[in-house]
Amino acid sequence: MNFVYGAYSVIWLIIFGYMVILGRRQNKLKKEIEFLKQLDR
Amino acid sequence: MSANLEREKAALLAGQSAAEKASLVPKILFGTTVVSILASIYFIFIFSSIEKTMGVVQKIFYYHVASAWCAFLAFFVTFIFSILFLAKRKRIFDTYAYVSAEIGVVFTTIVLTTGPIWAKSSWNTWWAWEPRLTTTLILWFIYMAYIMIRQMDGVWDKKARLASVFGIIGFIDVPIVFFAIRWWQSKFHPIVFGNGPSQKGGGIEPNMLVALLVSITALTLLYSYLLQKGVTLENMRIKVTQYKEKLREDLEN
Repeated sequence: MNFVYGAYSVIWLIIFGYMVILGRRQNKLKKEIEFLKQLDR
Repeated sequence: MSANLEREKAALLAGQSAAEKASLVPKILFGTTVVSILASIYFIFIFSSIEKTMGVVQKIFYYHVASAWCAFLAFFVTFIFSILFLAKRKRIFDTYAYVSAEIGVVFTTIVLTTGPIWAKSSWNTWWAWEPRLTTTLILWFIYMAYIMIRQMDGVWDKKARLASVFGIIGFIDVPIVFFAIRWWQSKFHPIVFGNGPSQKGGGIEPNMLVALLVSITALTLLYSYLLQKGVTLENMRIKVTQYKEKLREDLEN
């Protein structure tokens, strides 16, 4: 059973890890857009 | 402010508001993905029976195979959009090819990490240089190289053309991975469906097949969600970069 727990833990770590990367990219873009909007004012 | 800069700004703001307004599709996709993943967990751990020879460790099979399916699908999408990009030279095709390749690498990483865990339990070794494992590792390296091409410095269309050629040639490895255990003799990797030179496909129990199909559906929905999200973000990144370039030009003039 340890192997099953290990395998499924790795699967969710990889998937959540990738989603965290996407979230960080989104936040970075939001910050950049806000900065550009302020620059424009 | 120049007319060019005004145009880029309008495109940037329109892109941002379109992404915000069109948030219903990702929400529906996300919801169905979560529900189908929960359903797959039920079908894997409660509904499907325990395999007689391998025991409970066989349950790794469902997400291992479903991830391999999603990786193949992702690289096929990269292959198709790479051809479309070379034929039509539209940036959106290149964006889809790139994002899909990135997700394909994520799923291949899952295949390459869950495989050894299963192998250690079933074969008593973490890794064997047998055809399926070796060709899958090569596949991972090919698409890692594809992503590295995309992250090089340089003009985007040159990188996109080079990456498209790579995306088309790299896809040759996908059928090789699939047929590896059917073309070459493999002591370790069993054939489940169809027949090979040295072994006949064992097939699976109907309840296991249901669990496998639910898992494949769940991860395919996850792939669709990630693709949609990745393409939206990449489009926004492109618009921000274009706006910044025009702003720099405007300030210099």
